[in-house]
Amino acid sequence: MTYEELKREMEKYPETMTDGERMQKYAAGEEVDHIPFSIQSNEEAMANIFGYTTAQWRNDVKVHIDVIKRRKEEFNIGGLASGLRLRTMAQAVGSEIYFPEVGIDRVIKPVLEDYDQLKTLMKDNPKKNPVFLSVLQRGIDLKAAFPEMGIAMPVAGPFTNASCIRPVEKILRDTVRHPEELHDLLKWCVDYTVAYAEMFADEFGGGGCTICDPVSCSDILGKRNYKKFSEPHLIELIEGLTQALGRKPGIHICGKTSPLWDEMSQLKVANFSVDNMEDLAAARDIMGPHFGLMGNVAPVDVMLNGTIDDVIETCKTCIIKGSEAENGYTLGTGCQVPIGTPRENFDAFIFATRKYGRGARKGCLPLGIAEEALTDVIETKE
Amino acid sequence: MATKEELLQKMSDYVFEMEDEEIADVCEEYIEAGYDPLDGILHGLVDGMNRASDMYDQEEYFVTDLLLCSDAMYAGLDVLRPHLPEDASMGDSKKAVIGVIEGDTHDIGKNLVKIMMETAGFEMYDLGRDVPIDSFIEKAKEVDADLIMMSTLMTTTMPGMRTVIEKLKEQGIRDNFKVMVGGSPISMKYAEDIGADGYSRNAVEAVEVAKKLVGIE
Repeated sequence: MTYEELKREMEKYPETMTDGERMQKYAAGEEVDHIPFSIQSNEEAMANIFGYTTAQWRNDVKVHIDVIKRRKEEFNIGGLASGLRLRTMAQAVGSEIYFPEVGIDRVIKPVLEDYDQLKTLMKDNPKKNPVFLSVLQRGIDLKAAFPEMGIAMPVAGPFTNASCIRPVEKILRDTVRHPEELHDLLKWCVDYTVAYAEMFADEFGGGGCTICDPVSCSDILGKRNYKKFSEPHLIELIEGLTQALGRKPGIHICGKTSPLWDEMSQLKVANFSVDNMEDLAAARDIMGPHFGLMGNVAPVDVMLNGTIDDVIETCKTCIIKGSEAENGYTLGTGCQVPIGTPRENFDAFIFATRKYGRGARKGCLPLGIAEEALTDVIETKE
Repeated sequence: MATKEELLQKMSDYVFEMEDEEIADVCEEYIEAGYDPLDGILHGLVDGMNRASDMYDQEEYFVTDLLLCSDAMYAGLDVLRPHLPEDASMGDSKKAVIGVIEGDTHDIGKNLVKIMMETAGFEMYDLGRDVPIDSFIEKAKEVDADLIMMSTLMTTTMPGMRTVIEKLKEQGIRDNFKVMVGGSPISMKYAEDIGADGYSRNAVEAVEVAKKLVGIE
């Protein structure tokens, strides 16, 4: 399908509900215009589409506001975020971070080489930390510009934060060589993150939250270390965030997680975002009874490098696999959508949501999918 | 006094059990008894690492375990290596240049691949991380490498891999090297799209792919 054809097709499937209305009705088990969707952490990719560099979006609040405004106008995607990204806590406590002109920031020099320094680091008061205050201020500015939009806060999981504060190879060795110190570090990461949630709640009165914890995947940690080091602190974090924000957070863990699904099913979260390397149908069967699911369109092979048809087809497959999840399903990308993702692939994603996700109801295949299957049968008979 | 076989077994076990301190003593004992250092490396240390990699295949060991096993292996190598005769060679080793592509500093995956490749007997040239495109090619030419191995975790730096392959073509030397790529955002499809010869999802699999590419079975 060409972009022009896609645009024409899209007009056949207009939205008839606002985001808030849709979410509320879907959660209540009512039929909605289309299945809820979330294209993960899309602001950097959107900035790129609108001709801004990542640095402009990051450093200039006016650019950030323009990105949100145009995203709403051109894609009808709303929502604000002001929280702790994967490396924000590490930056706040002194790790050296490199922020490229275009691209995702990365750790250059983790601050904690030696555990002797941990006590000094722990003296920092998060509620007076300049990095935390500036992140919060960005949220205040965005909310002032878009008072009608909801604001949510992402945070990084304890193991991910720890891996940006202390060199990751040391952290992995700590699981055997310095387990006590590692637990201290992880606990501190939880407390520090919850402190930000309290600052956020004081300002905005609560809100949604997603925990991103890429380092907790089974590719890196394995089940034994997940149980021993990640899980206990993840549980503390979930409890702390729920208390501070007045609602359960969602969680996204990149990479392979299926060996941990039995354990992860016990987490008291609102939803779980499944990485694209996992099978969504299997996730639905095992984790679906415990919380909502989200996922898992491949960000690189499909969103960044795929065609319009690839995006539509993958979204359709995901809807078929995920939509019958008992506690609800949100069509989403399997991880952050990359910078460089073309505009037409965002539109293709949204089109698939409206066409195949049409007439969605929690726990059921949407009418869009059911009707197409019926049409196929009729056409075959004819 | 322990026999050679007993000491080799102990060295293998210490690697497998991640004992990076005791292993040096066993290696000293092995050398003092006058046994062949090369046998010690291949049938002691490397054997332990191979056992660890089998466990990784069976999902009993994970990245953390492989790292700790390799710490023990390198601690043993530090003792044994100086005793190798100067002209000793590990056999007809294949050479591989490895690095994380320019713009990216995530190197834990690359480091693991390097460890597993060394364990398998490859001569590794590690360019480190944030490696300029041309450095891969220059180093590969300089050491007459069999393989060029590139890794990245970031989508923004993936295109650098394609550029390396294109530059190899421009210089008319594409067929001199096998090119392998890996890293979280990379897939078999992407590897094929950019014209790489091989892709693997993890470090243990990387060795198998590398062996096939250079004709080692």
